[in-house]
Amino acid sequence: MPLNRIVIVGGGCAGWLAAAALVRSIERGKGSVTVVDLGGEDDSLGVALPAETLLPASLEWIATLGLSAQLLINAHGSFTLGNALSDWGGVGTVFQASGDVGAPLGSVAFHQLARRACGDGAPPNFANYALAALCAQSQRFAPPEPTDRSVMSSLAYGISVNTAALRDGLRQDAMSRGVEPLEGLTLTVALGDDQLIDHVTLDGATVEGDFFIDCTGAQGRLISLFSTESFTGWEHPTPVLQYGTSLRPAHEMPQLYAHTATHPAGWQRFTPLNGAVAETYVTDIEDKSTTSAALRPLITGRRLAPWQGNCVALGGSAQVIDPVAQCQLHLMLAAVGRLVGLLPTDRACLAEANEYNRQTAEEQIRAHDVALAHYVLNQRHGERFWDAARALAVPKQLAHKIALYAACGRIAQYDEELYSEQDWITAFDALGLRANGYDAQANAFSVAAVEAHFAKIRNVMLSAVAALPRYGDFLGGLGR
Amino acid sequence: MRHTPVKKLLIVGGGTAGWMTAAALAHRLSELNVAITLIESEEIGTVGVGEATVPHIRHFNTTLGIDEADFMRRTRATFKLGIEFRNWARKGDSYIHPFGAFGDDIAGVPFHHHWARAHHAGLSGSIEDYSLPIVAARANKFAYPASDPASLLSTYSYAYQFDAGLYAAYLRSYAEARGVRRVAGKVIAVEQDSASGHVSRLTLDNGLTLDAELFVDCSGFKGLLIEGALQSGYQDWSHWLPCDRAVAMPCASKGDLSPYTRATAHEAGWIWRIPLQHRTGNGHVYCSQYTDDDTAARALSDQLDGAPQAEPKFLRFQTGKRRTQWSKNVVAIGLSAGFLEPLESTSIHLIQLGIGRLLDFFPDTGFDPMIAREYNRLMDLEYTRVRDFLILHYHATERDDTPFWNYVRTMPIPDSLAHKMATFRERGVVINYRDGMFLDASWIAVYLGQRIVPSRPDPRVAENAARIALTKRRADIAFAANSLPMQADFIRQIGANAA
Repeated sequence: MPLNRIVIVGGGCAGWLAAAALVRSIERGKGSVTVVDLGGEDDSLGVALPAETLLPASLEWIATLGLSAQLLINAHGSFTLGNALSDWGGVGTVFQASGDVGAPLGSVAFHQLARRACGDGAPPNFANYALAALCAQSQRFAPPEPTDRSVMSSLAYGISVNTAALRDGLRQDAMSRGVEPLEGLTLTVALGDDQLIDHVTLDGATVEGDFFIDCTGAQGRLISLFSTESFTGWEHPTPVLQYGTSLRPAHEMPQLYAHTATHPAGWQRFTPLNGAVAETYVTDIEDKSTTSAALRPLITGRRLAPWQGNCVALGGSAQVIDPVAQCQLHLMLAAVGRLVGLLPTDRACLAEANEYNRQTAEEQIRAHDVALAHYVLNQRHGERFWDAARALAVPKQLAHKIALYAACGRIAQYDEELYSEQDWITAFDALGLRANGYDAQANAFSVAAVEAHFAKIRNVMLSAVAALPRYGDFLGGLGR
Repeated sequence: MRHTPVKKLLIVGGGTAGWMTAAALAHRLSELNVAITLIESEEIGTVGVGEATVPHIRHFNTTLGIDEADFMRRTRATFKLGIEFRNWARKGDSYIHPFGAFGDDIAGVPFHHHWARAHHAGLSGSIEDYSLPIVAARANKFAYPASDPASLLSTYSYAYQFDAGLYAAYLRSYAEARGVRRVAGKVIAVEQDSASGHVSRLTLDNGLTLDAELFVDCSGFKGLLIEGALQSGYQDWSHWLPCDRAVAMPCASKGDLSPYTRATAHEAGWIWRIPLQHRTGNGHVYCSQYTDDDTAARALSDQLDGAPQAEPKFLRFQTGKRRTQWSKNVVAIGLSAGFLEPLESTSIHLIQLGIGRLLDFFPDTGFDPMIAREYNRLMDLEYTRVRDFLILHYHATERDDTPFWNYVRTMPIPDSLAHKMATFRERGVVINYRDGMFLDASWIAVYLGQRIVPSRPDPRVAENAARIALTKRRADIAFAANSLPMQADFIRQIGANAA
């Protein structure tokens, strides 16, 4: 018998995203989705940030879940083609482009050719050969048509959105499909004798359900009732930080990338939106120098098994990852997608829960690796915070990934990776990690042949980019 | 680069593994001036692992620029659309694991959920009716898949069944034409560098000495270098895959040429049947704890299609894998790397994977240990996942007619497989990993064939919602299969028949 009544607790971005996606998977007239909205600050995705970024892979989830990309545009969405990283792996700014960098020659990857061609000298700047970087640089953009067979078809882009506006859009969408919102302040949860959730009460009124989704953020108002599940810190934690955020209006055309810059005891990120710029500022928990913004502790960690009985924790109630990894909305989308594929059919569905928890655990660790890599690879020497960050303990699998890249420029990929192979190569390069060796087969090409290949790639890309509309014109056109 | 490139490479052992390695390396390293030598002993026979392959072999051949018709003629090859399993879950059962998926997702839900829902309602018929390669194979038909993804004829892939000895000979001429030097002789001494432990020089029984920087050990079960010299250790999997003997005996062909391999479960193992152009390859894989050589050979000769063409040839093995397949400057490829019985025709594929990864991670003389570590990590994953897939065939059975089947039915299995089976049995979800050669379609075919039908299909599948789509697909497949030529005619038509 299918579970007919799904109750989502938490009315933030996570809760409404789950509602909008799940209501599409339920046969009309055969089930119900209810959102219990407790109000308050929206930390349902993990860290309460005014802007969230959808990675290229997140947009695939949006489509798979049947959600409209227009929801993102309407949420003050602005396209993003990467990150400008300032003073991480060395002095200066490096552009970390999304998607492909360059193109292989025969079976030899671009970055291997680059390593071969530069000898012991400085490697070429990847951004000069990345379509996303060239678009961002010239402020030109339009998503490629699905039928496009030119180099433009390889352009990978994400979208940054205003979190609150996205939540509002998702709420409106979900409600138009019959999701029932219940608002209140006081929640109690009733566990039955079978250790499953029997019902919840909201301001004294009973809300009955078969399956419960915890979208209450790190507090985990439902999931924490299961004795086996507590929110625990990472085994190999990122630095202990405090953070502050702001959102200010901006009237100029948004940049096509976020800017993430280190400072002596942390980092800050500016995320452009359509009509605004969001700032996230993080600094060492010991740092007392900043008084301008209200800073609060950033507590990261995860739940080892976020699906217990008839309750699954999604978003921040499942994990909080250091925001440098820019992945909390993506993880939420992936989690909802996974849940839809494993939609329970029974109140005690152990097979589904076991598989869900296995995949989630892998995914959490892989995303945490991304955050951790930013800290351990930094090259800011002589500063207490950054020196300590470089010395952080690293889990075995991440250590292997870093050491393998350093040895030969290859990426060891594991299951449920947040980053693709290319994403890791781009990130390692942007963070200043250099490979000692390279693919022996690169030696089959002369340095001159490699250089000619690079010049050709760049020319093809530059002329493709020149034919694109100005981003401002494109964005303006979307509003009409 | 701090270290000099590898300039001298020695392959120890001919046979399928040795000559596949030689051919691929000669081709892919042609620009790098690597001198490749292969040592082959005339007195040590080759095992001739697996005459049946999986579709990946086509990629191997294509990369080498091999002409398909020429290759098929010279190896007496036939096409292969899948493997038929007889008597596995129950005596009298038969199912085919095809090279192709059963159907497209319907409304975002994988096809097999729709089938399972209809199956529980008693409506859908056999899953085989939804697979073009199965319906075609059962009718002994074959044609190339179509390239248009919209066509039903694009829903399958194919492999070959060939004479592995002839394939090795074919690749030998390919490799020798590209500069691989063949040295006849038997290795009698292995010298290692005293500081690093790296293998440095081999002495042959004819007095020759050969040195090299990189060694590929294709010496078979014994692992002359990887075990003999470097003592990598062996991970024994015989408690999960207890068969440890095989007897092979080719026979004359009979009847229409089947485009599939057959694996028939027997009292203490299983019998393979591989139809080639000029003969049928047969063998019996069995467990010495539950039967003896004579009984096994008799069981095999009782099942032959035609007159035997050779005396029975016996083999002994132990299922498992080398603990480190790449150690120092030695890479083990083929039986020296491990042995998994040929139930799913994986032997040649595992050779191919080893070669591909060796090329991906082709070292310089610094032999950075990170490279070997990653190679071993990836190969371990492949072997472990093939292992789990093989165990599934034995363990998911209802047979209780012999002590052998009672053992495999009730033995403890790896947790990874237990979780996979439970997830499919209860909810029809196929667990997917990043690495591993068998994809969803293969697992679904074997789960269903072994009578594991999801008890709770995806709740998004409404009762009967896909009835029309299912009926239409069955009819389309029957029609498409009917339009294909007989395999024997097709082989003649493309000029791939041996004169």
